[in-house]
Amino acid sequence: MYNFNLFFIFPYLDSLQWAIWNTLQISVTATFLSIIFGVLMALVRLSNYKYLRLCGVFYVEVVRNMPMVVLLYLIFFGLPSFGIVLSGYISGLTALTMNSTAFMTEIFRSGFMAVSKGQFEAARAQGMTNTQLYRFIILPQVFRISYASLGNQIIGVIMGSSIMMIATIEEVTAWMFNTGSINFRYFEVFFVGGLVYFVLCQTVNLVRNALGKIIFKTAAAGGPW
Amino acid sequence: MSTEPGLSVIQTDPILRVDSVTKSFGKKIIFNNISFNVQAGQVVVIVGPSGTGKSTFLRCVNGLEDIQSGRIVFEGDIVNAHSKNIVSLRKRIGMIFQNFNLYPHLTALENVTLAPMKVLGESRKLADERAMDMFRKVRLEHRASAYPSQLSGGEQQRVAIARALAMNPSLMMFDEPTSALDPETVGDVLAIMEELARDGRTMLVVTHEMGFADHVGDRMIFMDGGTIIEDGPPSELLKNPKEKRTQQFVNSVLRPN
Repeated sequence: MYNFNLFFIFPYLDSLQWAIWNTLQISVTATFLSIIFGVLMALVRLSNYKYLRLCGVFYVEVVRNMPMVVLLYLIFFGLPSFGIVLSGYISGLTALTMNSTAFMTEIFRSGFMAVSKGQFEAARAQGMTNTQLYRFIILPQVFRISYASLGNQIIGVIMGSSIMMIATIEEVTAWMFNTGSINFRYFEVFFVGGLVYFVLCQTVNLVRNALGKIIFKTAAAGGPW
Repeated sequence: MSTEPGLSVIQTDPILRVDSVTKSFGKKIIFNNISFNVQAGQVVVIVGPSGTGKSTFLRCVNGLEDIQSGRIVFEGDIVNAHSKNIVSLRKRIGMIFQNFNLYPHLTALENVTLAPMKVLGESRKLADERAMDMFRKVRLEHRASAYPSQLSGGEQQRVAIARALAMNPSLMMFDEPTSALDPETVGDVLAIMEELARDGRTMLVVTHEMGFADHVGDRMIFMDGGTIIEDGPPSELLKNPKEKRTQQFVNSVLRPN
């Protein structure tokens, strides 16, 4: 019988703290970057220029249909062959951001498409410039529409961060493998690691929900908006 | 509107000049060779069967759509949908849509104050004060803090009118303003439009409300098949239409079934 005992984890809680911090750092950074790039790429995908649009489709389809491991290997182990050497963290962040951007693009694209054409017309008819139109009318609605799907993708980013150990980043999965290889208590180690991911994702979700209620006052006002 | 009654008969420069304008989407011609003028203070009502380009025409006037030939001149400026000055031109033209198109993420008050603050550069205080004046005008001062989703269709359209008025435009365009409303609230919106007409607002109204057209309109334009069939005083068009096509239309809308 396997003697399940979490006591074996205690000596490694210090390094786990660091691992959680590293997982959070890369996930949060990649999330913010991919939200910005996702909005921009969504605009590219909805552009009036055919070739620009095709570039957007190409990016999304290539990145979205390729496991992130492949992307990470290409960046971390492949690029040095062409003389481009990126640090582990930058490689990991690039892969994670590129992958998440592809999904964010689709989330925001559907958000833009869900804003009725009449909103553009009403704002233009009032003499708003394109910048004002997007800033005050369109983007707030796009974020409101996309907010729920954003939660899924943020969790996707945290999950994706679990392969960053390939690029030598000391995140939670790296901690699991390292600790297990030292104390050979793989079951306890993976149990705790899994728990950490669960708590991280739930926390992010709860924070996102609470933030949403503050940002989108209209939802609190009771309407569908 | 001139202040002295005697002067109103003198033809001044029209506020809107439409010179043989043609609009097409690809090969499909929407309207062809449309010409007419609108004088300041006039209420011009455009009527006609669906799909004859009435709405598209309004959208050409403020450059939401471009035109393929001809010329539209508003207050001396040529309307060009692709030029930069279209933004400054649109500030002077208010537009009311069939589906209201209120900004759903903003309260009624914010809907009205946004453009005056961001486009005209008014202070929040001034914009708020003026917005409340507009809300009184459309009799909705008690609903200023509501979101569009909490308002009925008629209320939404009245907020949309307040929003357009807040820019103090020299021309108000209405694109079938009551078509999406339930019959009960149509009267509220029409009553407010009638008041605006009495205040001397220049209005260009696409509508199917023949009663309103007859009652409030100074001029009626009957469009069909992408051209203007007849243009004259509403009572004239409704009682003694000259063209056969106008007669048919008038008969069908005034004596339904």
